[in-house]
Amino acid sequence: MTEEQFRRLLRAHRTAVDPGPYFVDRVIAHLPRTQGLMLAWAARRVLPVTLALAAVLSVAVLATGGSVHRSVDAPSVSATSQRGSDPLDWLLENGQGVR
Amino acid sequence: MELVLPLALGMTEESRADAEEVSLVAAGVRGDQAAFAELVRRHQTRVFRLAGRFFRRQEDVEDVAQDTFLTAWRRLATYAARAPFEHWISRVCLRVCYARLGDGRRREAPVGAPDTVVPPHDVAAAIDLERVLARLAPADRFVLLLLDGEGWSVKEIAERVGWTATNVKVRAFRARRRLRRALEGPS
Repeated sequence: MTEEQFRRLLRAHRTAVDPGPYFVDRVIAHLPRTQGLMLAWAARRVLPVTLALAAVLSVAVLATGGSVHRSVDAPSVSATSQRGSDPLDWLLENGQGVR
Repeated sequence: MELVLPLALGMTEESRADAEEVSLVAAGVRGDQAAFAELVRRHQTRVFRLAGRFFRRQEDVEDVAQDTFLTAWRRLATYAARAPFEHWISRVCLRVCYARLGDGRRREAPVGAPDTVVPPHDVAAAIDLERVLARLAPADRFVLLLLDGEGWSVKEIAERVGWTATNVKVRAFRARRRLRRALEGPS
């Protein structure tokens, strides 16, 4: 190949790619966000995970509810309802115990 | 998004577009993403076309175009409006291309990969061209693609890449010398 042929071929050498219809959106989606937007975005991104975690923890707490309550020395829901009085009684009782 | 009204009588279509783009840039600097989206919309074809000179794979061209606009967003405040925005974005694109060409870690497409290259009249010659280009250093390929591919003058390259004219001449001279060696070598 001569240098002239090389130049001629180089002129036609180009990858023909056109921007897709969503290219602009893709670029905008990748722009760095401000701190406020970043926090909102992060909160929205972790929301499903947070809800799932909360659900799993709730189930776990309900499943092992009795033992957990005993360990922290707090009355179970059933215990307070059995008394039928102010549900904060146990707090007062505990408070007196501390004093 | 604010647009500058073409108040000055006798303003040409081109200078009106330039004035509009200056105000779009100003809005972009203030964080207006809609204004920046408009700039991307206006210049995306030009950037894709320029990136297509340097890379054979479609994903490389798309990545370069995206990197170009993300870099432009970060450095938008440095646009001084002394030249049209088109020149500035071309310069950003060329720098992204140059950096990517020089990045040896990236895998190059195999020689002769014909999928998205503009169909040449002579496929064999096109494969020969790919072989010769593959033998050149990225910096030499860059200069030759601008000189012979884009058909830019030394002055145009200097303006758009941000090198001095002397620097372009020296690079072009060396690139041509290495090209001759590559053309003389075994194919």
